[in-house]
Amino acid sequence: MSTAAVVSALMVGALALGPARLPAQAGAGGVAGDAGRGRQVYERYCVQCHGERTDGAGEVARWSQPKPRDFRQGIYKFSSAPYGFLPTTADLDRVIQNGLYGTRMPPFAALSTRERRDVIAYLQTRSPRWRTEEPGTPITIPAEPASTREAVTRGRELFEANCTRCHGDGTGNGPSAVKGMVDDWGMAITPANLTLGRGKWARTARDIYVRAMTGINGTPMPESADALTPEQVWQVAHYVQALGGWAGSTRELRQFAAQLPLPGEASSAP
Amino acid sequence: MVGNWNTVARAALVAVAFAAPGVAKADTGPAPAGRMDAAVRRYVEAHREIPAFARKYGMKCSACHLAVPVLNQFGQAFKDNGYRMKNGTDDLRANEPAYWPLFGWLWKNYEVDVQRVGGRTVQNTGGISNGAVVLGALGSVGDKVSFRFVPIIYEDGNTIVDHGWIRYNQAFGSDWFNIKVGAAEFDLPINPGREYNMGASRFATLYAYSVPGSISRFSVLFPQPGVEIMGHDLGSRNRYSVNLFNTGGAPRAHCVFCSPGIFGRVTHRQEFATGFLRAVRAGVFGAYATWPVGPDTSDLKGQQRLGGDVELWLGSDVLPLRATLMAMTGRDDSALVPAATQDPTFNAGMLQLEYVPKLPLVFYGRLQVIRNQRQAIAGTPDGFGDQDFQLVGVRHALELNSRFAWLLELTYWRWTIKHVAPGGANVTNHTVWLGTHLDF
Repeated sequence: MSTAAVVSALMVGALALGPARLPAQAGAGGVAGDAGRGRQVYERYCVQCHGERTDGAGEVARWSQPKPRDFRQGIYKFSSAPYGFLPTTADLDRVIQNGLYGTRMPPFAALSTRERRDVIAYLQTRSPRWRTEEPGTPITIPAEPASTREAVTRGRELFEANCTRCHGDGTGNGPSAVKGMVDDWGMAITPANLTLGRGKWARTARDIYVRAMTGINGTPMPESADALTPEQVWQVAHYVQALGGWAGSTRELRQFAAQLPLPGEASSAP
Repeated sequence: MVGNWNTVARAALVAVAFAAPGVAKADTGPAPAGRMDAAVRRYVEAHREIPAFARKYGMKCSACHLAVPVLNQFGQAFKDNGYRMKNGTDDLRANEPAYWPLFGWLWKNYEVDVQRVGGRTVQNTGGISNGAVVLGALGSVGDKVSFRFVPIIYEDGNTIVDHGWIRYNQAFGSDWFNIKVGAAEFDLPINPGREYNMGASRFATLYAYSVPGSISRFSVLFPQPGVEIMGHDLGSRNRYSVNLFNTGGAPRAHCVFCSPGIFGRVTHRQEFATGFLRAVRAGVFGAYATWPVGPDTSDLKGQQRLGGDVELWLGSDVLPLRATLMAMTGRDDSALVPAATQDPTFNAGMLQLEYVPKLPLVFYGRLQVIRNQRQAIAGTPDGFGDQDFQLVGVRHALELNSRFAWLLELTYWRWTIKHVAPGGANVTNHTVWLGTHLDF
């Protein structure tokens, strides 16, 4: 029984050693997470890459490519809002839950909703942008039209006209890529290989549509909302979907796309 | 009658001490009462965090461990996925050619143990134990294949091999169907692989218990060779596992399923968006194992275990006070206890509390009772072989990064086995354990 008392005393004593909590702070965009608790979440799961100062200079950052995000700048690559705007809480939550495929950013789907909400609230305290700007409004995504041979054919033409310079034949071997590209942080960056059937962020044709429409912040990937109509962007998305085993792609359209001239091939032929 | 008691008492302690089927051989002689076999002790020390994972994925140990080596929900999901992040970086080909899924552990500890019988000290032992180095291998080779193989080399020259297995991940493309072949630990809230205490106190856990006098060495605590099928949802909030096994250590049971058994468990975790109670995980399990009693394996006798557990995460998700309540009931065939007149039964319960005030510090405590409800041998006094166990400890990591961990731990436990000494006295062990551990 005395040991039980010791156990109890130890536990009660330990409770008193708890860390001082930062004041609860709602982040921008009406997020009701607890930034203080979010810092605890960050220190457990994120600090090794993103660093104690959230500057992207964690102890494994030197071995990471692409480099971990510097949250002090408030620039987030993947957003459902137009290029240049802050992402929504849902955008940040998606990256936390799904991770970024092929990078050191793992999926944290096992974290509770509260943990994710709290760490987002903490991240939103790390850049002054969150105090002066509101997150962008997500783009409107029209209903996805059926992916057909015609759409894929038209999508290939649009891809050739708008994307080949960087993405080349879809594998990321365009002239600009060969020449060398850098992102806003001065780091070398390569265009995505779209034939792999999955992007860092994108999984479906809808995701490809969002990326094509809004671009990728901080990178040479521009938004195409001004250059292409939604219908055209869907066609590009369906062509890209047919380049690899993307979720929702069909074998029939993949085989069809494989028979088409590679982007850049027809125009460069003598 | 006293002689019978002594025999049963000795057998009870031996059964407790030799609960590790993969290590204790079937023809191993009995150990001195109240003292555990060195090889068995070693076995349970051979599980720690896996720096190879931290190195591979660039994560700190604390990402997967509530406090090393106990898993948090993220670590549980990682383990359930076959040691994979499922992020395109699990395949060895996705890593630098220089990376190998190897890791090392090295440890040393000092221990003082006082054994008291009937209130009188009969044995006082202590000293620095033999250390060991573990150069193990485990992880995912590709998206579909994971494995584990962990040999352990001790200073005195002994070498043992921890349980090993190969797992086929996501059969039929589903997280709900993963197949593991080899000696696998059962899915329980506590197992030797993820205990705070680095000492041998875990033999007191309810899952290791055997009824007094039983010749069977089966326990659900230790790995059993066979096939495991397990599945889970995204984030491992709902999980199941089924193990079909050949009871480890069963004499003459050298064919695939000569001494068969089955174990199954389901768990559900519920998280709460508001309030002090952050999450609850509940699980139930059942096991049935057989053990041969004749000259061959044609005469198998059964043992059943049923249990449940509730885990509460309080106050915080990442720095919680966690309370785990475990209960188990067991029944053995009387033929497993020499001279038994009836099937013995027992009930056991344990409360474990852990508190992480800040990384990487953890306080923990444990209260446990085991009660023999029905003794195998008629006339055996009530309470014979019952156990009480209390433990408190603290563990701190002097270093905890993505390359290595350096741990320091202090533990005290008291373990009482009732009425087993001559004259019906209790045997109580008081142990203070101080250890340091290096994982890299």
